[in-house]
Amino acid sequence: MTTAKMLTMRATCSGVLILAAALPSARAVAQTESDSAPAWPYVYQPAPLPLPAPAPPATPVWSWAPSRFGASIEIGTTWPRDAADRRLVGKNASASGGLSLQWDALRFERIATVSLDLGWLTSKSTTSQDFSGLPEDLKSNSVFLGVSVRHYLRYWLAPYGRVAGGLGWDSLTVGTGSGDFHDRRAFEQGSVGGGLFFRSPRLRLGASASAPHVGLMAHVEGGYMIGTSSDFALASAPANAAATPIPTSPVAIGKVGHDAPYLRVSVGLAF
Amino acid sequence: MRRRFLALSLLLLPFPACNDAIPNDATPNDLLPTVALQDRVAFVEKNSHTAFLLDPTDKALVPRMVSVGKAPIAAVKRNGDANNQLLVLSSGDRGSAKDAPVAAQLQAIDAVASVAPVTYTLASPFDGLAQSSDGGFVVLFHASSAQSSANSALFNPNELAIVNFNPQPAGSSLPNPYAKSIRSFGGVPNDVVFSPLFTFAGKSRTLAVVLAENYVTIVDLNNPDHSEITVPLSPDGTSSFMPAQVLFDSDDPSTTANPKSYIYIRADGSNDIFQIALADLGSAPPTSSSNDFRVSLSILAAGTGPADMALYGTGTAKRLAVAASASRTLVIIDPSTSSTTSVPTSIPVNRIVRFDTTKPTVPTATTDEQALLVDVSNGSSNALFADLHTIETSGGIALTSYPLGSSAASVVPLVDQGIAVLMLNQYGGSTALTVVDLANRTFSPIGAGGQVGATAIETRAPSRLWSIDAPYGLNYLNLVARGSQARLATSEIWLDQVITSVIPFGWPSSDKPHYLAVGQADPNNVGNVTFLDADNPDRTTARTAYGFLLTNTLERGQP
Repeated sequence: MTTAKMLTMRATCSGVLILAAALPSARAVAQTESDSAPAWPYVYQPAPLPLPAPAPPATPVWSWAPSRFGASIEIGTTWPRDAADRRLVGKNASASGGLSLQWDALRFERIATVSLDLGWLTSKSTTSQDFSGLPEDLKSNSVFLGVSVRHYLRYWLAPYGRVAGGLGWDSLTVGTGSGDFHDRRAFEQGSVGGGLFFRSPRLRLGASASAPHVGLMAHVEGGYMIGTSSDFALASAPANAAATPIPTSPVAIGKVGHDAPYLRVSVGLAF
Repeated sequence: MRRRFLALSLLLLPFPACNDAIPNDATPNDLLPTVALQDRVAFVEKNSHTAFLLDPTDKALVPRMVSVGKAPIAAVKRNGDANNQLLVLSSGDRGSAKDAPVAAQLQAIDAVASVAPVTYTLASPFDGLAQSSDGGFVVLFHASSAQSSANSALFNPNELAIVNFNPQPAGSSLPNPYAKSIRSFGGVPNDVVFSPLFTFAGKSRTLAVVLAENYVTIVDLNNPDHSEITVPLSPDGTSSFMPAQVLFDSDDPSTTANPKSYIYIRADGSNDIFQIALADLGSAPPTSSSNDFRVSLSILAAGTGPADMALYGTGTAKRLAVAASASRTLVIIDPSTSSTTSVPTSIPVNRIVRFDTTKPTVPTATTDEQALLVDVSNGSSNALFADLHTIETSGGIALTSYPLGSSAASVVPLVDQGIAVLMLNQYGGSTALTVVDLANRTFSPIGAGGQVGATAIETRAPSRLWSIDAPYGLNYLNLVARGSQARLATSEIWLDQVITSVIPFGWPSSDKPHYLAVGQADPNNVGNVTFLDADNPDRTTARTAYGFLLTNTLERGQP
């Protein structure tokens, strides 16, 4: 990994953390405004956009008022740039899946909404070792914290930009049975991307104004992620009954980079 | 609109979060036989055509990887104590309309990484490799096995490639390797043996004797452009004589007016020994392609079914002892006169272990030529000692029989250490092997509760015998005394995994630490070897390199 790449990634992570630390005060303001302000649309909304027709008093009650929280499942695809990574995933692209939580932390009237998201992504690839024919299982997990800024073009559509950073770990197993090899390596990762946010009108689950509400939301996002390399050194502990086994030297099989363009799609519930 | 949104969400949900690619058709690692260098052990993997050299002094046991030629077919240690090198013969690739051909090559890889490997490109994909005892010459040939291969490409089975590792003389313009096609009398090379240094026209020579059915071919390796000399063993061609053993000898120039060099050939199927005399012409050859020595063939009668032979004596007392197994005789031949003396033996002898004993007589010590005679094929449970210096006059009295307790399966002579090891067939008794003190004519049986597993004997002094006590035990026996450890003391060490082979390093006698490579069960073909201190085997100092063939696989090219 180059120094520039490392600095960029760490700056991304640092920026995310700084934003996260700075948010509570703004959140308080936002929440106050949210609680006291009239329902959607905001004051900055262009005048030609008419408010949706008021829902009839009988349930269900639909509303375009924004939700503050969201929970999503997501799938993603990366196109690894690193040859070793491509070899491990067996093809030019790998798939992943995961969960994420979203919180609209700031709403700047007329301008944008700032969201924080916390997510977990996992992927698993099974290939055959080029040199030995042994099966290779690569499991990757990453936890990330992202900050996104979105701007609504319509009630249901908002483009957004997002930076994220986090930590991950790769777990590699080569072979099967008692003589297989293992290693687990942690890595740092950051990403920059942008996409579109979709949402549906939310449904109030009760007659009272304080009743919970729920809606659907979705993201389609593309970008580029960078990360530190996983330098694998496989170790094995062949089955034996020795109390003090003869030491076995680990086998360095090379580095796996994590730089890749990515595409992620998520769907979930907003509430 | 809402329905479409919901439908998209539901479609995305079942997408797997994994990427289970279909395993490709990668082939498992395919190793050539392990090669022990002096201080390293080398593994050559065919598919990736990579040599892995493991240094047991490296705590991390990270192999040094060296790319070798495509399709490696043979890997050996280069002979000679001064040569700590791995020789790898590769047959290359014929190519196709799409792929360019890859030439066959011989590669010399030094154990030291700072010495760059030397590659010799070959004109033909040879599969036979023979080298001189000093490692100065390598002769590559088409082994007989190649005749039955499925390869339909045309090739000349009598083509040789002579690789000269010695410094080329000034002014020499001969290519190296030197491609040479030898004449054929209907056969193909079966093996190549090398002479010690002979002297012709005042210059040292190494000769190669190419063995083929019914004839041998003599090639002057120092002058590969000279004509080869073909010596027929069965001039009428009606017999089938396959050369099986070759001995070399030279007259002592200080005691002989016109010293000659000799080649003795024993051939399976023949009751004669073929003596080829090489006479020094003493001057430059008449033409540039002629040899500066002349050969003549003599046939020496040697009883029925000669199975082994040995030279002893000097000057006019030079004799050739031939074990005629089928006629149960030991035939003593005077090569200068062809006169023979046949001595009946009580067993069908087929191995002769020559050794000398020194007697402190006045005024000077005298050397007695002796031999241990063993049958390793017919189940004899006795061995014979022969006083060769008196056998022509005393006949059978010069032979002394000793019981072994069981028949011998093989003999490992360690004459420089004064012993020979007889590995016995364990048909009934509990004796697994016998260590013979040659000078004192004593037999020390070594027992075993069951069939002895694979064994390996260090050929360097002081020798130790290693034996696999399946599956995890490794026995060792001091064949000679070493330090504070008594002769014939046995001990055992237990390893963690199933032991498959024992590979003593080819170390020269030195004060450096000596190691032993122990092959371990490796069902996944990823490389599994444990290194032991050969002098003081101990689990606490042992280390295992498991999976070293996977080293750097992510960053290597495709195999």
